[in-house]
Amino acid sequence: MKIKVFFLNIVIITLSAPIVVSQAVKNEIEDSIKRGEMPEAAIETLDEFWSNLTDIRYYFQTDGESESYEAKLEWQGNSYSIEFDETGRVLNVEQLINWNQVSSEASKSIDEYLQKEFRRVNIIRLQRQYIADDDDDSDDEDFIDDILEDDEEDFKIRYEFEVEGRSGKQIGAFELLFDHSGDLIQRRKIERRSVDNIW
Amino acid sequence: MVSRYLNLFMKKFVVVLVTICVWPLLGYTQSGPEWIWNPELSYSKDTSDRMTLGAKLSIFQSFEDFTEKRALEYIEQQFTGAYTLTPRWKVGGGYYYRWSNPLLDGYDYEHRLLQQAGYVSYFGDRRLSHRFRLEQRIRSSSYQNRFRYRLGFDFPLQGEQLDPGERYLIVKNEMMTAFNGTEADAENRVSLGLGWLLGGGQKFEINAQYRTQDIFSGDGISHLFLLNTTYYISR
Repeated sequence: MKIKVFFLNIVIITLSAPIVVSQAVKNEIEDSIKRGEMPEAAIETLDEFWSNLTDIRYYFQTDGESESYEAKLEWQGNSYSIEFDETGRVLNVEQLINWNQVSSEASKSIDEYLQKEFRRVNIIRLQRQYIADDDDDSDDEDFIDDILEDDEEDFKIRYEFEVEGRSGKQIGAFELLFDHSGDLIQRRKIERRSVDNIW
Repeated sequence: MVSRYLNLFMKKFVVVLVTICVWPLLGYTQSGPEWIWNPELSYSKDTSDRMTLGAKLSIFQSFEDFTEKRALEYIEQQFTGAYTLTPRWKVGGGYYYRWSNPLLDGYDYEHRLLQQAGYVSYFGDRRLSHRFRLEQRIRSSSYQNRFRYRLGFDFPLQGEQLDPGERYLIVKNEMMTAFNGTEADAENRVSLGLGWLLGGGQKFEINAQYRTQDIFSGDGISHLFLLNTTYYISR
C-alpha cells in the first residue's frame, strides 16, 4: 500500500510539471511567428526591398510592457535583423559583421577596452546597429535605403559585441555596446541557462 | 513554415513517448528488453561565479510488476561539485550511492566516486556539450572502473532563444566502457527528450532512452528502454 502511495505521489509531481509551465510568468518572450502575424506596414517595408526573398524569419518580442516585431534575413551574403514597433515602424537594423568590418577608429578604442578589461577574451558575435537620424526617422524606406547604400551621413552606428572571457572576478559571457567611435555605452553579463541537464 | 514542421514534429514526438509508456502495459515485457521508469529530482546551486554544487535523487522502477516490491530496482543519490575553468570548460567530481532492491531483504549497495570534465559550445541559445567522466564503482561484491563520454545537444523549439514557459528539445548519446580485467564491458545510451523551461531556475524534462548493454559480455547484448522524467531546480 505504502509503495503505491509513494509512486502515486511521484506520478502526480511529474505530470503536474507541464501544468506549472503553462502558468509560468513570462517577463521576456521571443517567439517565432508567421508572416501574416507581422504588422502590415512592416511587411510593406520588407516587400519594398526584399520581395523576392522567401526565407525571411519573423519573430514577436515582448518584455511585458512593450512589444516589437523582428524580421531576420540573408541578403547579398550579409545577415540582417530588422526590428519594428507594434505599428510596423522600423526601430533599428542590425547586421552581423566581422571584426575587420569595424571602423578603424572604433576598432582601436574597442581593442584597448577589451585588452584592459579582460584577461582572456573571445568575440563570439558582433553586430553593427544602425539607428536612424532624426531627419530620416519618419521614413523607414529611406532609412533602409541609406543602410543598403552605405550612406553613413543619414544614420548612427553602434557595435554590439557578445564576448566570452574573464573580467576581474567575473567569468562567462558579456554583452558590450559601443558607439561609432568605440566608446562603451553599456556592459552587462549574459545570464546563461544552467547546464545541469547536459553537464 | 518552420513552426508547422515543429508542430508536426511535436505530434510525432508525443506519439513516440506515449508508445513507449503504453507498450509495456500491453504485455510486451514478457520477453525481450527491460522497461524502466526513472523519475529524478535535481538541485544545483552556484556558490560563487565559478563554483556549483549539486545533488540528485533518482529512482529506477521497472514497468514489469509495477506495484511489486521487486519492481523498485534502485534508489540513487548523487552529490557533485563543479568548477568553471573557462566560460566553456568545467571540471568537477562527486560521490554517488546506489541502493539496489531497497524493498527486498538482502539489498545491495554501490558507492561510486566520479571525476568529470565538460565542454559546452554555444550557438545562440543552442548548446552542444561534451562530457568526459571517470568512475570508480565500489559494489557489495565487486569493483569496476568506468569511462564515459556523452555528447548532448539542446535547442529551443519556439524561436531562437529559450524563454520561461517555452519548450526545448534535447538529444544525447553516451558511450561507456568498463576497463578492469574481470568486468570489461561497453554500453551505449541514446536519448531523445522534451523539456520545459520554467521560471525561477526550474525546468522539467521527459527523455526516452534506449540502452544497448553488455556489448562485450559474450552472453549477448541486452536492451533497456528507459523513460526518464527529471525536475531541475538551479539557484
